[in-house]
Amino acid sequence: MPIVLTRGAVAALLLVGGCLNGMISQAESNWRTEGAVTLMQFFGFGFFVPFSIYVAMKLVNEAGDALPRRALGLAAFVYAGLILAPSSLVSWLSVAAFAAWIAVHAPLKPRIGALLFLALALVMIWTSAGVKLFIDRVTAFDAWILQHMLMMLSFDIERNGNLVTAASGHNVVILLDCATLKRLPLGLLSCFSASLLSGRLMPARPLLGSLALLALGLTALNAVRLTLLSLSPHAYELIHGDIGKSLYDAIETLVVIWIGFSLGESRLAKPLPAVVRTA
Amino acid sequence: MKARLTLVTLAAWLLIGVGVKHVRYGDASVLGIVTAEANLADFAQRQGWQVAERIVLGTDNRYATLILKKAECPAPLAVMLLDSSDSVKEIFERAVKGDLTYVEAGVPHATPPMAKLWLHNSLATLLAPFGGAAAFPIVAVAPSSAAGEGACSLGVIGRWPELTAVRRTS
Repeated sequence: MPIVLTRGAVAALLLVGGCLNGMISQAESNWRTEGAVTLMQFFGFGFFVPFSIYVAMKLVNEAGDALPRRALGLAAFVYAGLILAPSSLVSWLSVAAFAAWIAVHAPLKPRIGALLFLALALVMIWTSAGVKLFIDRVTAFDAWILQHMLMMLSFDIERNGNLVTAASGHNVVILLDCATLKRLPLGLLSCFSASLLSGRLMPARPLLGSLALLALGLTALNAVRLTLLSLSPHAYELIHGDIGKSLYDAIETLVVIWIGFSLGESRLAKPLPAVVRTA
Repeated sequence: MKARLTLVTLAAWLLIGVGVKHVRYGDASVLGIVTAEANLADFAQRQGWQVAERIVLGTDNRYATLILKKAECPAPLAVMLLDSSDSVKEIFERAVKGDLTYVEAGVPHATPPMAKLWLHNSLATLLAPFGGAAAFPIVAVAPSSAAGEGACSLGVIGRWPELTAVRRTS
């Protein structure tokens, strides 16, 4: 059976390959520390990363042969070479650059897919390197919320940077992996990706409004989780352990994907125009 | 035929890319902070300090504090490596009641120079595959006098860059 491989399909496969290369650093690190798979984690990547890659790949594939042949060949050659460098950060930067190039040259539907790849690469660069520049503020933000949540329960609470101490002497330190501002961008990106699965796109203003509301909701969800695990050492073990973590990831995933699907099915969403085939 | 050849080329390219990165990241010693900690413990032992306790926060050895003791010195030393993350420095500061010094690339600081460290380490990460510069974690030392010279200090602060230089992982 003959295989038909359009330029859009080649571009999509190259971008997926670049993402897999970018994921290696975190996957190896996670393999060493926590093993490969828990219920909601796959080599340290939750549902959001593979899901966003899948949606973006589907959309870029729609480009068919609408991408310019020679220019694509040259860009793909440079990109493929850069991906071979032994650095996941270089891979993500290359994915961002190649996706931006495709976004400039592709029709609307695959352009949105390329922009999804670009956004994913930027989010991964943010979570692996960028966020560390603001680590004090990012972790102190959650500690500040946690302090106020616990004060509502009328506990005597003290906070020093990202360290929250209850009167009972139970300390909770907010580390980067639990920080809302590290987790949030991937959740918002996945919600947008889910909204595109119906082949429809929300207008910018209601879309941004919905994503802002979702950001508030996810911040509140993380705050509730942090508050519960701060109540006692026993609660910490339960909520921060494998079962609690998987449950939290599952709730977060369901909320994000459900809202994303709802946005795609909304009456405000308009169908994305199909790519006109010229060949 | 052309499509099959393209697919095979893409698969080979993916395997080579992933394989090259597996070689780099698969070795646990590239977890920079772990290597730096081992180097530092080794250096301290050569100065006559013994590792009396190792306090670990987290599951991946990223936040380890070494408590060092020496027979002729009344007070133990505490040393912690902060890498490019200072999200645990409050715990250390609290444990040693604020009497500490941060040492970065052999230079002592009252507060950790995180922005400089971030820039240096990010560049080292990017340049690492091309034989780029080494990166340095910040070493928090308590009491603060321990970072200087003397029988009850860790000594030779100028040599710390070579002791804590590490390859980057991401």
